[in-house]
Amino acid sequence: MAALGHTVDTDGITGDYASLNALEAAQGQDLTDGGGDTYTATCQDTTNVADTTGVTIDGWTTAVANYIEVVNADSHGGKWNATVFRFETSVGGDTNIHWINEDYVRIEGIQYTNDTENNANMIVVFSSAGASSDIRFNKCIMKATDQINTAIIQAAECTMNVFNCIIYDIDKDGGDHRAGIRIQHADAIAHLYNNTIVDCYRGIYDSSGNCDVDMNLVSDCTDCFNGTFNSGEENAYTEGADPANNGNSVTRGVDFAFMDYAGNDFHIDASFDGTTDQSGGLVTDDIDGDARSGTYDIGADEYIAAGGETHQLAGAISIASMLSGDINVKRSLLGAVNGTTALSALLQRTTRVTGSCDGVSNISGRAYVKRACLGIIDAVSSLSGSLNIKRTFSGVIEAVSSFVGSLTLKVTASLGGIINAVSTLGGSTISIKKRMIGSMASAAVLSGNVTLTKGVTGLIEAVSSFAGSTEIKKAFVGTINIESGLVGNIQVERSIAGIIEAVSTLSGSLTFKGEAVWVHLDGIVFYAE
Amino acid sequence: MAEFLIYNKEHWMDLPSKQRPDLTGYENVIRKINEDTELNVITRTEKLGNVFQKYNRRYQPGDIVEVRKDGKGMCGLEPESFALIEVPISFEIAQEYMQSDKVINEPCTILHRRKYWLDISGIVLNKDKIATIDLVTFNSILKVKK
Repeated sequence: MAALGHTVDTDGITGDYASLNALEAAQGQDLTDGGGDTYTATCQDTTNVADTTGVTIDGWTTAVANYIEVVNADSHGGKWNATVFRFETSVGGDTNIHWINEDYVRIEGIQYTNDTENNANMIVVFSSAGASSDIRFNKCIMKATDQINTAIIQAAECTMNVFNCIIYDIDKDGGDHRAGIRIQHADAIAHLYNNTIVDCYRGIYDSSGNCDVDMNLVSDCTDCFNGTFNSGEENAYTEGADPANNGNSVTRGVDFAFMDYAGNDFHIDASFDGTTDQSGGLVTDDIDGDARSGTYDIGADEYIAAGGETHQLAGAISIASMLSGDINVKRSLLGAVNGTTALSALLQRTTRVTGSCDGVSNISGRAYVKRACLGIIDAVSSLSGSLNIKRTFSGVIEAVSSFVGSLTLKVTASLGGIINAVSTLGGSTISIKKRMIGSMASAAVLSGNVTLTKGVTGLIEAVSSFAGSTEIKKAFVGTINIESGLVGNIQVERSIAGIIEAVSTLSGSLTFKGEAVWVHLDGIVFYAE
Repeated sequence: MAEFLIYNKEHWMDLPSKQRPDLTGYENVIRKINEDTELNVITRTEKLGNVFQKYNRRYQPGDIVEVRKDGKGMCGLEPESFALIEVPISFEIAQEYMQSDKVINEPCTILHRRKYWLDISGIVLNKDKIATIDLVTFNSILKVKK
């Protein structure tokens, strides 16, 4: 059994695919064929570009333990966030953002909007596998501004679980079939737990009779609950009828309040207790990832008092002397990790780092970032640990004195930052498997090996000498500049449009297997193959 | 200029199964349903029907997966599965070729992938799996699914 997966990045450079639609088309497979795999599509938008192409999830084979998972690499923070991955479509008519035909699909943390006047359903659940299927939506945000039919419509005989989602502005002035969530098929089974639904015509609309609604907060809808529900516990609603004689008719602003209703921030501003877990174990945290325990709050948000547990760390951790433990953050690290003397810990990140990691004297730990690193990794004296970044790096790695020893920088996606050592940059292996846009510079010696398997548009520069080996397997349009000696080997397998310049000597080999568009060699003997 | 992302490989249902290389992926799924002794006749019939429909909906070489704006190109693993055909028409017009091929069950509409496909068997792709064609060529290779 294996956990398979790839990435989507809408920047069209960093990820394995530029859209979820392309990933779905390319990776469709029988997940039960190899002994039981799961497949995770991790979505991010490094450059804040939305995914605008609808996705039909179809043509796979899935099972209970062999499901497809679509996750957001970054947390939206419980409120619509245009800086993390989202779907934004403007198509009308019959087109949907998702059409889900597969039987076991989990979607977590994805944001959806369709802002054009049309009659589309955002997400259509159309698996026909019956009660055994499991289509899940967790921590998603769905919104519209005009005539959308539904955010989610369950239109076939399957089991759907929706929890910790926020849905709002689904055509409050529309007709009877306009709803936040609609259970349409007579044999559909739905479990809707701890959702917050605001400003829709109908909040939850069930025509199947097989829908459990527990601990949902449905506010400011024309009719919050409509239909016949299988069961309902601890729901809160501001208009319409009681869903199953167990709900609570409440008044917004009296019984509960949103943090910023006008600004579409539907976090609650104080605890709004329901009961303990009504979801059969599906709900263990809230839309922000805050743990739920004891008495759960109604709706998608679990209120956390000031000083309580939080999921996101937006500030800095500052250690005056030594930090020798491990730092493990499962989602975004937005602040700084700062050690005044020594930082010898293991810094392990699951998704994106946007802060800085700074050891004033030395960093000897291991920084392991599985996805984007946008911050600064900085040591004033030495940086000798292992640094492993699997995806985008666009920050700065800087050691004022030495950048030596066992440092391994392995950037499998693009490198858009700067690697800079004032004295030496040597003994290391720098391997960049995709595009390099930044620069590598050493004021004294650059003696490591540099391998770039894709395009280079940056600068590789040593003010005194470069004694390593540089291998560039695709196009090179940057500059390699050595002011004194160049004794290493430079090999470019494809076209070169940049400048390779050594002011004094070149004693290594210079090989171009492709087309040399422009090469400037100052006083150097040149042999072309 | 619009860029058509074209499905450019065989679907797993048409390739040998990992589990049973003597069968295609489709045949192996059918085999597992037929050999599942837990299923009654009705459930088995429904499952076989679903798989048959899924097989008919699968991506096939030439299918228009999506349309991209001029200059977006392909990234990462995309050239392993797709070809990119650059055509001198607007992005808005090109998007019309992404429409689905069947409508059922109002108010919902099923997306059976795409109505149109491009027969790129005669198109020479460069090393990056990209080709630029003119409008006459585009119209000659544009096909409607039957």
